[in-house]
Amino acid sequence: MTAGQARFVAIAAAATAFALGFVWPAFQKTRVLWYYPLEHRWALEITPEGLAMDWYGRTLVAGVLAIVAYFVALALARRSKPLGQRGYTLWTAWMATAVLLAMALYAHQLATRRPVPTPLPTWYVPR
Amino acid sequence: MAGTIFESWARVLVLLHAAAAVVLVGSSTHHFLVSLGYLRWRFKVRLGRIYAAIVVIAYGTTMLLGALAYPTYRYHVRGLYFDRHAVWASNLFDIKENFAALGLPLAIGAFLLSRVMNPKEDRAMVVGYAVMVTILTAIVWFNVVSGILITMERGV
Repeated sequence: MTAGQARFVAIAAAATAFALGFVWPAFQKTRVLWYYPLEHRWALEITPEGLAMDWYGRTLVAGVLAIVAYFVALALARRSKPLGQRGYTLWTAWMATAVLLAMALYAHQLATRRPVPTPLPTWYVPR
Repeated sequence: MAGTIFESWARVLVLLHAAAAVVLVGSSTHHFLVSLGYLRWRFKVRLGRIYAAIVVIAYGTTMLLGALAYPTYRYHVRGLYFDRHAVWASNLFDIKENFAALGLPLAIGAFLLSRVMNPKEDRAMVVGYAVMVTILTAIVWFNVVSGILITMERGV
């Protein structure tokens, strides 16, 4: 496989791995890195105990998975046969499907969510 | 008063986040048009590489600035206001942040591919590249419009 073809496969594998890694905690109860913005601390847990954000943790895990997938796919692709039209189509389809399914899942889950508001502090003055 | 990290900088960060998003929406739209050109045998390869580079820099900058202002938004805007009075904005923001993360590997991937791809010869690769750029541009437009709507409701 040429260097360009190997890079294409590695990028498609990385984008697919990122989407799967990012969306995984939505399917399976997983310990995620949560950030507590009022307490300025991080915690690795399944469910947070108060106001916390998991976006940083999920992005970090998905990013690490994508980097690993990139280099593994690049090493394997360099030793493989040249990529044909069918190979390009399959890698493109896997990548697009993974990203679009992850987007659809979040849109579906969040569009109808009823969030629990944070209790109003004593100093709070509505604008 | 409860304090979040970078709280005193939040408005400046969001302003710079918006400025970077203006660059991003322009460059990604031009990049999308160039990639469509590749499919129609119109090759502006140098321009495509320049736009791919601008997109990846603007995308990273926009995400980073947004991530720095996010804790302040999460408590003062979403926690104290949106979750009570504008649930649609709270949900739209979370959709937008997830879409932004999912677009990051596409921005980096399109940039890396643009450096090695010869659209005249690598015809099969061009389709994958165009798919990547199209999804990325759709994410950017969705996020920019959503960001404007959310900020119109309430900002940091």
